[in-house]
Amino acid sequence: MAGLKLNNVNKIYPNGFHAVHDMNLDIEDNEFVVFVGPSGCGKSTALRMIAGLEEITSGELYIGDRLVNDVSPKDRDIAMVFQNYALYPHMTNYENMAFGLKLRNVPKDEIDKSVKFAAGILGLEGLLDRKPKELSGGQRQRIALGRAIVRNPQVFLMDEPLSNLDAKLRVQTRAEISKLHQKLKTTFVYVTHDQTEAMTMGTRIVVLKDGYVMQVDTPTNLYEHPENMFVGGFIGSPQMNFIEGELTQEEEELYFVYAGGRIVLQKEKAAKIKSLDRTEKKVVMGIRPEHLEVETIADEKNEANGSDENKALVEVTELLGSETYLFLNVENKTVVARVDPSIIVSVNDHVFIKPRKEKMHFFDPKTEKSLLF
Amino acid sequence: MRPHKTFRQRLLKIGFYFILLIIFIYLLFPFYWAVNSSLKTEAQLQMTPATMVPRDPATGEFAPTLQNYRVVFDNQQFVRGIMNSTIIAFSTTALALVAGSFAAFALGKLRFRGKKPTLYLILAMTMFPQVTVLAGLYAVIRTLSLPALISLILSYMIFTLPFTTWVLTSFFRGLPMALLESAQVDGATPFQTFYKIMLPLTAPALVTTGLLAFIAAWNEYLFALTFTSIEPTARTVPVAIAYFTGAVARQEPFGEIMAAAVLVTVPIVILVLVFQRRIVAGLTAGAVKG
Repeated sequence: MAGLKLNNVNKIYPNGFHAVHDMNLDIEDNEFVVFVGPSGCGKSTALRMIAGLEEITSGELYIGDRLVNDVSPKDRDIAMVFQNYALYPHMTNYENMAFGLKLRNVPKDEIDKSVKFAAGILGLEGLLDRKPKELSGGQRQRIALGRAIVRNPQVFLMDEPLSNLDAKLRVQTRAEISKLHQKLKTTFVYVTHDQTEAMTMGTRIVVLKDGYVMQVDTPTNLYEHPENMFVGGFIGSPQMNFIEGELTQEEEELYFVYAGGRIVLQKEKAAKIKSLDRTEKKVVMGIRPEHLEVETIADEKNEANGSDENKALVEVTELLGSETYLFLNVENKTVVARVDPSIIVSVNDHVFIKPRKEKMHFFDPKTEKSLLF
Repeated sequence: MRPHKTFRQRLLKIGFYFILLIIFIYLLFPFYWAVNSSLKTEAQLQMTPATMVPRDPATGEFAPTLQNYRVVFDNQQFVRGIMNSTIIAFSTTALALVAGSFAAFALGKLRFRGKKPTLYLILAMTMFPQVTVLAGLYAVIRTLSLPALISLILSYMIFTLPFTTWVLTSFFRGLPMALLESAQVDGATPFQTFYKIMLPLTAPALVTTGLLAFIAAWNEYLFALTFTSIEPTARTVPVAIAYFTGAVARQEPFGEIMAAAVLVTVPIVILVLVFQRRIVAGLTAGAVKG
């Protein structure tokens, strides 16, 4: 069992494409780290560099305390699970799982014990004599997992292992892999483009974009405190809403003023932003759909008020049973709110939006960086 | 319900089968004629008009004879030729497959500089007509004083190796890269990856290319005729047949030649029939991305 350490790791392909920029990462032993990002963000390249399938252009990679830049994959003590399983079609499932150990000249009875052990964990006992093509997608994926387990490696690498499975099976296997991690107590590095997978499985998540690490943190912290607009938008579904506006000070209070009205900032957030010594007034306010509360126009106090402030037009309603998504038009920009299904509104109704003050995020429109960090 | 076929459609169908029949006759009649002639005696062969089956010249009854086959089997040159051909064809095939699959693995799966030029160079080798290299090769063989058998095996590589390399390259290229990487992570050396993972998966292509290489080597005439000219014991079967002589001067032993031709063709026909499924699989593999 060992951790992993990346020091200023770069990957530049011969054609000049810079796939990974100065990646720095410290993965502790027994962590489940997920690399997540849109396609082309360099997450798979980073994983393949750890595996030794891609050369590291510059920087250092340590597995445990050992510098492994120039160590071949077979000597890195890692095992990898591939997206399309990559099982050897001409071997039985048993032979597939035993292959790595056989190459290392492990005694036959020991191989047998390891394979049986892995098969036991994964519920594959009855399938070992068959060939991969006789199995379903989910079973094949488990054979591929078994092949990795049998090796008893220091680090498990997984490259989008669930993307070839159907939605239902994906959810099941997701849980199985999490359980596996708890059972094996080994370091896992997992690549996915699916933020749900990342959030549900990872103990820490590395968000990547265009080869740059955007943020590394636990799922909760990523969700609660995104460091920039990209992370805010990428993590969470439906996406975080972004509303452009300005900050203005009136007496002691700081207000977020946008085309549709103005909202007072929470004291702590106001203090934090004031302390930044920022002259630029323009900001982007980010609010998650679940933190955007909605009041219908029929509410007494609103009727009495008679003001148009923070008013929005309901364009689409999506009923999901446990919750309802409202697609609102706020000054010609679509904003999504996740509301309780008991709130009854219909298309073309007007509502008032009330972002929860403690959940509001503020970003610099130019650098896209959070002002609350 | 399917509507009844129109007259036009029927006519087209009849036309189709008619053309099929013509092609069929065009391809098979020569072989049929060889079998027919091989079963005739000298006298039956002289009959005008020639008969479609061996008939007795006097009574016109069906009267085949195996006399020609008996003579052919008693012919030491022919038996020797069969042996030589077998040795040469099998050696050529084996060498072409081993060297070809090594090359194809590298060309299809590994990254290295100058891959494209190498592939085109290999293809270019197949474009030289045999006659153009014949004289030069002969000189080389004389200088090195290679035995005829060896020289034939080596020179047959000129046309078998590029072919096996090309077909196998496209086949190797079609195998998923992840298999290779998986084996690499599992701890296989490149050579272990090659013979434990890649080679078993290319079996259909190996059978196809092997068979075609075998046929090419088995049927080759020009090189065999030239390189065995001073070493008659190394003559392959096509050359041995060409050297058949009659019992008397200037007699052309047509029946025996035909019998020998049939005997030489039969093993190939059997091989092709046995492996025909694999051949089709091998030839079309890699054509469509699977």
